[in-house]
Amino acid sequence: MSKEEIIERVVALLSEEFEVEADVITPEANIKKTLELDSLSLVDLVAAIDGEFGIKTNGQEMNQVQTFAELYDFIEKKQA
Amino acid sequence: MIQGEAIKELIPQREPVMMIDTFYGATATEGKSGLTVTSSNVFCENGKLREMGIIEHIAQTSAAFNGVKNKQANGEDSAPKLGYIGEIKKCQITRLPKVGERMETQVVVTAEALNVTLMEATTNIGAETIATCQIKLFEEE
Repeated sequence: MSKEEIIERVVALLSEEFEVEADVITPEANIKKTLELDSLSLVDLVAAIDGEFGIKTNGQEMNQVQTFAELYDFIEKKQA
Repeated sequence: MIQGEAIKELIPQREPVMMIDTFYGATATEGKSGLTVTSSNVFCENGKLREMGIIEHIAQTSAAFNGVKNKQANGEDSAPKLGYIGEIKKCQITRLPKVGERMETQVVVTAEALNVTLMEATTNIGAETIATCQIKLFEEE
């Protein structure tokens, strides 16, 4: 899957799942602030990404991902 | 299979709000419990178990599952960890169980992050699914 395709799918997925406008999901934006994640809702991000991309992540890995650009890289590496 | 007094080692609830009478077993990612609805159940009204009772049954199933998982991971004598229901969403209840009916609930872990576990719960009476929901359990360290 290309990086462009990953970005497209992540933006569509997270804007729907977390009810935010797609245009606030920019590469440099902070994930937790943009999606208003707290310690309870981080698991929703893990579930959404795992379900969409068929990968297995854990909270510690995901907790270290700060921006959407880092998230795209993270998914790309997991799929490699 | 865990029944009777042994259930109390898995969940903190006590009569009259114990809402599972059997825990059938667990793997690393799944657990299953059951409850036969009796007329003395505090959540019963006009011969049917109300929605709150079904949700409490699902919540206790997820708590019992975590209790068993902890024992499997840390030994039978390990002290139970305190857990809290963080959220219940996407809950659909299609019918209320009648007195005498037996409902069984399966919880399946869909994601874990730090000390939060997200599970999908399905409650059946026989082959009929009567309730589904997503439940989030927060566990203290």
